[in-house]
Amino acid sequence: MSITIGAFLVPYLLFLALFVVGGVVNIYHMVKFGTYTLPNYIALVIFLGGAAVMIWGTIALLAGVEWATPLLTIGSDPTTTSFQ
Amino acid sequence: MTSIARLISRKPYETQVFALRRHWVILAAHVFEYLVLAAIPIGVYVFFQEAMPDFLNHPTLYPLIILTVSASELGLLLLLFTMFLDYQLDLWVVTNDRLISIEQLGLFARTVAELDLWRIQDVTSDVQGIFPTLFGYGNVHVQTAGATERFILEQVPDPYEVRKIILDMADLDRKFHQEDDAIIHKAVVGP
Repeated sequence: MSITIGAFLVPYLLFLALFVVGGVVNIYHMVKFGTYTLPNYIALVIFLGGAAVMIWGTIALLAGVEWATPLLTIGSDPTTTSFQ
Repeated sequence: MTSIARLISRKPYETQVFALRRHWVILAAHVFEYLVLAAIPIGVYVFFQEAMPDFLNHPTLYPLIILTVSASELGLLLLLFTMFLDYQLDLWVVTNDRLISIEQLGLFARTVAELDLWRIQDVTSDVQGIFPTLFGYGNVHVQTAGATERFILEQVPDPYEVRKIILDMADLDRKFHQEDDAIIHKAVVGP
């Protein structure tokens, strides 16, 4: 049985879930308690735009990655992993 | 109607004198810190790209580096947004009747407190440090008759002027209350 480098995506996706929760809580605070002013709208656009650009950039940079590359093969010689 | 207006229902005779947030330099300093921190992972990536391109061609390390840089940048962006909200949602409002303090403490805690102006006994302003002196911001401490009750308007612009206005408004409100008391006294005891 081998673990592929696709395993790196698990903590990243967990982090993304936390990021989304944090973002939603912040936007909720902004809508519920904030004043409806231009700086608030600008901050919201920067936050959502920045997050979209970073996630899009990450997907674009990782487009060619072969996620099935074995990272670790359990029960075999460790020198056969991609860390050779 | 803003949410702040909902939080502090205005009395019929009440008018807002001013509303204060922390000085803009405080926000600018946080944004600068964020930009420096955000540049570090990108700088490290560019360094590896230029100095050790083979390192980035590694089938395992490359995705690991990209995912780490992406997560750190997203985390910093969320921190910056949270910090901006903390700055934006902290507010001190002075009306002709009371001083209202609205403070956001992290994501899930919020304090709204108010103080009748006529109860104010002492107002102190302090500007300490190089940046507060250069940019003209500082703290204003408001003390009432109670031993412990104290409002602090933190890092507000022009603290000396704020102190003066609060003291003037407190004097006016005190006079108004004394006249009110005299009218009530006359009505109860007689002329």
